Amino acid sequence: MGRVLLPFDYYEPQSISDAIQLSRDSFGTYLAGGCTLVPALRRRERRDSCLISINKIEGLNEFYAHPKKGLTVGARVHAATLLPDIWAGKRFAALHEAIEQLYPPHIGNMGSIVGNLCSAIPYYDLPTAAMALNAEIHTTGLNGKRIIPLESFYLDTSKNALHDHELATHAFCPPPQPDSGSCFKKIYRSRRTTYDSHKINAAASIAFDQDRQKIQYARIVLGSWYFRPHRYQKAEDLLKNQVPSFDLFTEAASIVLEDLKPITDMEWVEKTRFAQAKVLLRDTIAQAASRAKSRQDPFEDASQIIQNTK
Amino acid sequence: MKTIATFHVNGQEYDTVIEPHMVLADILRDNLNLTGTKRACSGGNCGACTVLVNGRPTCSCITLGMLARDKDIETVEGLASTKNGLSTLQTAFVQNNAAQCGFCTSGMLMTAEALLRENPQPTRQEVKIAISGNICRCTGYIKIVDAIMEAVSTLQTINNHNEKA
Amino acid sequence: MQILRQSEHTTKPQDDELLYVGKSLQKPDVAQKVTGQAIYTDDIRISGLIEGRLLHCPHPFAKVKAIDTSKAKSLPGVTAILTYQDAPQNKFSRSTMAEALPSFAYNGERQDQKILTDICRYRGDCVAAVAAENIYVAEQAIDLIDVEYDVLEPVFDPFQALEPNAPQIHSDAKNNIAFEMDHPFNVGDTKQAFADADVIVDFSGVNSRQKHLHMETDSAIAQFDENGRVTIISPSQGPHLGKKHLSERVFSDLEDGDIRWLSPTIGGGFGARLALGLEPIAVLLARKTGKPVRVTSTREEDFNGYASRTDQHQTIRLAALNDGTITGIEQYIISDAGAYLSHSATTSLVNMQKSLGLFRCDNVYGHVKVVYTNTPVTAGFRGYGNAEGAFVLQQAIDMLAEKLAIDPIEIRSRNIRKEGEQSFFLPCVLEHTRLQECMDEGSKAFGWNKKFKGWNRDKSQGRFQRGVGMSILNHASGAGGFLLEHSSAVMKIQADGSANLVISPCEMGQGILGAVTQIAAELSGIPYEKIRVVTGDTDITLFDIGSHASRSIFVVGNAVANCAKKINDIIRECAITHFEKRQVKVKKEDLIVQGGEVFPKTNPETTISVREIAHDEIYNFTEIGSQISASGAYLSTSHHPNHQAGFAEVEVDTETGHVTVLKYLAAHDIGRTINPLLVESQMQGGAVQGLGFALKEDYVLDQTTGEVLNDTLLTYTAPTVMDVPELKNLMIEDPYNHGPFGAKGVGEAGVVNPAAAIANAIYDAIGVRIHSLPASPEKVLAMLQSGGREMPNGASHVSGQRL
Ligand SMILES: Cc1cc2nc3c(=O)[nH]c(=O)nc-3n(C[C@H](O)[C@H](O)[C@H](O)COP(=O)(O)OP(=O)(O)OC[C@H]3O[C@@H](n4cnc5c(N)ncnc54)[C@H](O)[C@@H]3O)c2cc1C
Ligand code: FES
Ligand code: FES
Repeated sequence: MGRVLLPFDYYEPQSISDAIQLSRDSFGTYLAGGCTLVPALRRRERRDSCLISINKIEGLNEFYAHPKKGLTVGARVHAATLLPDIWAGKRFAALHEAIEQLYPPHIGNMGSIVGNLCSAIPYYDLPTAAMALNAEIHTTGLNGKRIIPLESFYLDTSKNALHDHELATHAFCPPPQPDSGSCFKKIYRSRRTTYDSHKINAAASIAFDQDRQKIQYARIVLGSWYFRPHRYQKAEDLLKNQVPSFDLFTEAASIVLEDLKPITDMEWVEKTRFAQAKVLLRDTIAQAASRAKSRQDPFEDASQIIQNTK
Repeated sequence: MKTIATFHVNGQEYDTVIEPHMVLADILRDNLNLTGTKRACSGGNCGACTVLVNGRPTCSCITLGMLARDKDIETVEGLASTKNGLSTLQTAFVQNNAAQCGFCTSGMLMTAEALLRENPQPTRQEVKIAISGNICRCTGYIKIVDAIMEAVSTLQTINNHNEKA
Repeated sequence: MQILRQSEHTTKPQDDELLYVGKSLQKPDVAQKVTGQAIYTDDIRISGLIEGRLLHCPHPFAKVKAIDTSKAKSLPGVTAILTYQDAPQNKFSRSTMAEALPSFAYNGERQDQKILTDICRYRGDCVAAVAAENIYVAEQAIDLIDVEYDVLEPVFDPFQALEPNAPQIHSDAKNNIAFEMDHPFNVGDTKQAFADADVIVDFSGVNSRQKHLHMETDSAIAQFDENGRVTIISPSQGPHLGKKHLSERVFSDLEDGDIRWLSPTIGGGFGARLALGLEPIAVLLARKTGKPVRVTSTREEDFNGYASRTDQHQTIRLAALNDGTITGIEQYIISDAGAYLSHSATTSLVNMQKSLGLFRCDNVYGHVKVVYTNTPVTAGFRGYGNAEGAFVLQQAIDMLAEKLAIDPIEIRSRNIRKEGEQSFFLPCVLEHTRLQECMDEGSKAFGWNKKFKGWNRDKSQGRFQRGVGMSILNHASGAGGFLLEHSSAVMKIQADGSANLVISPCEMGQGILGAVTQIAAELSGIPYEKIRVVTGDTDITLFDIGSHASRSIFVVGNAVANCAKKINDIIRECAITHFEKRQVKVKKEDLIVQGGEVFPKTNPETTISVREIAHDEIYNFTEIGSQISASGAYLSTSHHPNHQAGFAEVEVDTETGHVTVLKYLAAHDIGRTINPLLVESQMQGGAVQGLGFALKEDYVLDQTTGEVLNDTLLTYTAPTVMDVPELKNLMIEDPYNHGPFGAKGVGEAGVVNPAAAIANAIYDAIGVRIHSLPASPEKVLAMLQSGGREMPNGASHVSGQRL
């Protein structure tokens, strides 16, 4: 546990191919904003001997949100870049909301979205939100380009599916269906036994049929429970072709709980955690559905939620 | 791996020898002798080390110096000027006793400064959200929010006055 | 903030006659703090300064088998490496209070730790120290020290530590009992009282280990001069006691006068700085290297090391008659000191003293036991036992009220001590209390009568439930008669008529510099802006036990008042000849000094400036010159209690267990408000800390490694601005004869009531009692799920927190 970092080698390649080459030669770690890396290095949780900054590489700065074309976020794009974007807020609300609730807010000015997703830290929020939006990671590696769906991106705590030297160039979320809405929420102080930020998070996206009567499509994600966020297909199936109602959402949440394994050794903590997860899921699904139905501008209720969760 | 790096701090240019593992907070404090920026957690958790990098509140304790080169950096030392004395925000902090031990104060001021530039007429709630990542153990925050709101209305009065004139 | 004056009791002049006292003036140190110019220990630049760092044991309980420093030593830039073999073997306590306590309480300050040790009793124990040319080299060197440990079986729970076969943490503390005693002020016969009682209430609970969380982490600089005298620079709340303690217990070759201790600007204290921090190791490294050394620490080390509130497991029993009269109180405390005793015994005793003394009762019995565990060391924290106790006692009182169907305010009114009765510090009479007025005015302003719907109200259905609760307290204004409660101040007048005021307490943000300057200005006649306060250098300031126990405004304020009166006297004395030179005949008694001018009462137009007088006293070539100066002292012999009532309204989310405080009001019996702005700042800060104590702050310990799992400011979850409810403060003013301008202490009280009032409000909202702090969502929810009947069993992996 240090006060300062221990020395390491440092490179600043100008191109993707240089970066990959350097990584191969020096077995360096890619550095974006450093919000995950720097604290971990200081705490001696990591001891990387070489960092390769991607911050001078041209072309990793792309940011684009469009209802018909989807959301593209380059590897150097800081999280807060998304906040003022009207389409990001309207059509990719879950991610927008997760970023708006990054705590402390300063982190959004320093950390990249791709870096957050690549960190594979169990209690980060953006993976949960991005998974609800069907995100995928686009990469360039020694053997060319790949696209990895976020759902198969996480192998273990701090371990993602990138090969050695492979660089994530950007993240992409496909355009949402027309009458759809998404939502992200978290509950702080939901204790578990191992070190984490004591929270659970959930995200959902819901789409209605053309008449906006029945649910046509649903993605339900719960995060911070295991080492990675998971989708809950049984609950998603339950919602399909149904008319939305409070009871329906409650039932969907209950179905998710059936699949959850306890992760702590204390019964009472487990019980309360399950209860909180249920409320969280129910409310997240309900809000996503209500947005899908009303296409309410998410900017307003997002700040409301910050107020409620802090 | 020593490097000579250039930093633009409070409108001034500094050349200094750094190493890649040095963070901005330490470079400001130890190399440039700008000790107004404090370190309270060195983990990006508390906002005490907040400086503005290209106008945005940034935790200098987890920002590698290498990433801050050639960017516009503002610290608490840049708020007051010899010509005009304390800034409106600083004056409001003094008048409301918004600094007790003072260790969080530089970070609070810089975070508030960025907010007021981006949103000159924030609501109390917007002020709270902006400083929600800055921890203060002494004041209970109320006087800090009061001070920022007071600065908002003073700046407003000055603006109105200027417009008329 | 609103100030209510109880005029019928008022004995001192009204505010309109006062120029400074009672006004919201700016404190002198605030401008520096907003410009970044204030200098904290870590900001000090000394040429040739080297940096020190410590190697901490990674195990909760272990013995060092071997230590290899050779790799570290060969690192270029390393100046010195010390291990436990190089450090004095003297045992000392972090707490310096041993030097200020009477003998009967002295056992509570066991001297039980070493600077560097080979027997590591918690993860905060240090086995080696490094000094190097800069922090980067120091850290690399620490990283290169190899230590081989014999890992011993630890014990983290105080009740397990008390069991016969538990690991023995200190060889001289049988069954890990660090301290045990009946409270010295026990009276009467509680057995009989309980046998005769109409109703009995039993309640137990435990507080969490709230961290002080001073934003400035620990740091110390030491430098020896050529005569072997050492200068220490560190954020200390009590440098005078610190140097006595350091010379007495740690460095037997140093004398009190061999140490000069400077306290620069301090980044918060809250009680943690009432102890030795990194100073001993800094002195050791400075001596070894012959260079100035700074030793620093990290936030993580602060969490795993020193200090937090002591978790006190308390049981309260109340015996009462049907009319609500309390006839017997029993309190049993088992405290978890952590690996070393520090202030744990004294905070436990003070808890008892405060809670047993709040109510008039002839039969009182208290018993304290303090236990060692392999957990971080706990210590004194703002409120010093009072907040820990109020949370349990004030719930028990409410339970009694419920049993008897009496309003919570009413039951307290019937039992609190009144003026002229014995005070909570039993040998003294309670000379002044406005606690009743605090309750009355507080309940009016809060709207208690409308909000509290009685004990049997119908609980409404719905996700969000609201409730209200209240709590009261008494707290000291210095521990006179118990601790060494004296202080001295010096004032001198410069040739321009400005003054220096030298006082001992250090400014940690509490505002003492401003408040005492107001007193000095009022009584000396020198304008507030012209008085510069000097503190934080033991070569200059006079002896004083430091800033704590809400003592400064009372004890130091009185010393300053005495000093300023003398200055005023001397100025008037000197003025006579100046008036005579102008053919004005005056008597000293008729002169007034005000705003830096001296004038006769009867002839205010004829003025002579203090500047002229002071100048002539100093630059006096004809007669024997002397600068106008005076010192004043004050010795306090009693506790001079201040009081407070707190009222909380909460909303409980019954689905998630989250509790939101909507409104909090405190009414404080302050005597007189010297500076409303500073008082309000203290009250607000205290209330928010209290709110964190109530709902958020705790300490999660890994049950195998003993590591504090939430060792960052993020995961510890201190209150942020988003947690702050609507806060109101009422000052119940009625000057107290012994206080400076009638003032009593206020600094600590604010933190005491919130947890108790909030716990009572939670009960009002959802009908479950909170047995352990913080009342975090999962605990509230667990209690709700079982209807409050069934408490989840087992320790919750939070140190010592049995639900
Ligand atoms: C105090 C604090 C609070 C936080 N709070 C939250 C919160 O509330 N919610 C939340 O979701 N997150 C939170 N975070 C996490 C934060 O959002 C992430 O740390 C940050 O976004 C990571 O981005 P970065 O650019 O800083 O990544 P870096 O730290 O630079 O990198 C992170 C990891 O990803 C790898 N990496 C980065 N870019 C690439 C790339 N292009 N290709 C391959 N690998 C790459 C790096 O090698 C490294 O392993 C918090 C972090 C801190 C320090
Ligand atoms: S010191 Fe940088 S955020 Fe706390
Ligand atoms: S003033 Fe002390 S931490 Fe904010």
